[in-house]
Amino acid sequence: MSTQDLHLLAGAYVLDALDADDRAEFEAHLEVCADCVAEVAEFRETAARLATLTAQDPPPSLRENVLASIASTSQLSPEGSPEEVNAEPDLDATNVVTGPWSWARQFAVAAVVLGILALSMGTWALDQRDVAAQLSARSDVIDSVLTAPDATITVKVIGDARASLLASKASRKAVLVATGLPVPANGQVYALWRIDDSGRAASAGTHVPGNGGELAVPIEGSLAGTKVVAMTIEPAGGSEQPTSAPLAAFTLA
Amino acid sequence: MGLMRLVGQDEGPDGPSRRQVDLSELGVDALLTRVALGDEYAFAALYDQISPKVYGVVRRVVRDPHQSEEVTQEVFLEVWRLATRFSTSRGSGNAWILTIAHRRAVDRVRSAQASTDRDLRVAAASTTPDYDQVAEAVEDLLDREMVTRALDSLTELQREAVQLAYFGGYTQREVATLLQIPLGTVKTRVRDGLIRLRDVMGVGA
Repeated sequence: MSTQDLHLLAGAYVLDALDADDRAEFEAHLEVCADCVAEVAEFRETAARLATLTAQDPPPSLRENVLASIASTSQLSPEGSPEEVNAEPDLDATNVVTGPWSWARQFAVAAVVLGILALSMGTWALDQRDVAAQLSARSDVIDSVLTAPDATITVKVIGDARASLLASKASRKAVLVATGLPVPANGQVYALWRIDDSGRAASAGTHVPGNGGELAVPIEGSLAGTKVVAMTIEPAGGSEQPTSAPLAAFTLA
Repeated sequence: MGLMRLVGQDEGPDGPSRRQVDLSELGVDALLTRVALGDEYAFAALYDQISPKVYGVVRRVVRDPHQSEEVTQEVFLEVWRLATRFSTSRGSGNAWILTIAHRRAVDRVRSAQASTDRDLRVAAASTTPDYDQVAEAVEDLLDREMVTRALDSLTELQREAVQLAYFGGYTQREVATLLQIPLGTVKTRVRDGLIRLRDVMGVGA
């Protein structure tokens, strides 16, 4: 898009009327265009006035819910100050990072996840509609985990690969993000498992990574009662139960 | 937890206040400054002041009451978390919060509808705001009438484009489809419409 065209997008940007590509392009443009920054600021004030037209009181119960939720939610450190670190000690030596994560990290991971989703979208030999539907279902779960205030991230190193589990206890959902996974031979797949207290494993999906060994997938099913999320390599089509030692096992807090 | 706990805060925002300042008299910007210090009372006052606008715009875009409550809660949680990063040098607190609200509402609608075709005609038939749902005129600056008058000063196409995008939550491509006009025309209509609204309302950055 030409710079001339980009200048025109300030209005649609403020009204959230740009699709993701245009928005990204315009946001990059904002980094270098002071005129558009000023125009966006003015348009935001203008658009905010429009909300006067639709103002209506929310249900009274919402107030209690909101106040209760902030009472147990930490605030971000101001911009530019060192990131707050309050990771709890973890006995598992292969855990690289654990503990509550900041928005900065959430955004970084979100960027990775979106990048990976974009890559896998390109490689799936599916029709567009299926891809969109799958992507949407996946990104709903991923979104909900990313935005969960209690989300924690655990990173495991497997040879040259890294696998991270982002889990939200409250929503009982988790997302696995991995990079550098070897593409399995002979149609084998990476299988995810939910394992309970008694060691019973339930399938949580099978996946084939993209060309760069990336995977960004929800753990299928509810994590209620799940002690460990594990990843194994299984024959094509998956297995009823794990048939190999786990490549990675994430113990849930 | 917040960066700081203030005296008298332990009873929570609904408990008896030992404050000297009447928080309900403070504006959004001043309240946000206190919220950034972890002041839950100020947050409650902020909620009381701005929640009708937040909920109203979310409800307008999302429509489903239950989902609208969820989104509104997300918005306030985000305001709480990010208050430390808010700066009046980049705009008013009012605009900052409503920007978050609109973005969240639109995100919800688009993620829910990404895999299904939206019923454009039904939504297009109801693009006029529900004026009867409008709550008592809110505190500051411009009342509803002035905003309505400002909207009336737009050309019909400008108004339609702005309303479909803001209240309908449509992308500019969808607006182009709905109004059966080229995308380039939508871009200019939306921008010209906002410039006109800005000037009529006398909005400074």
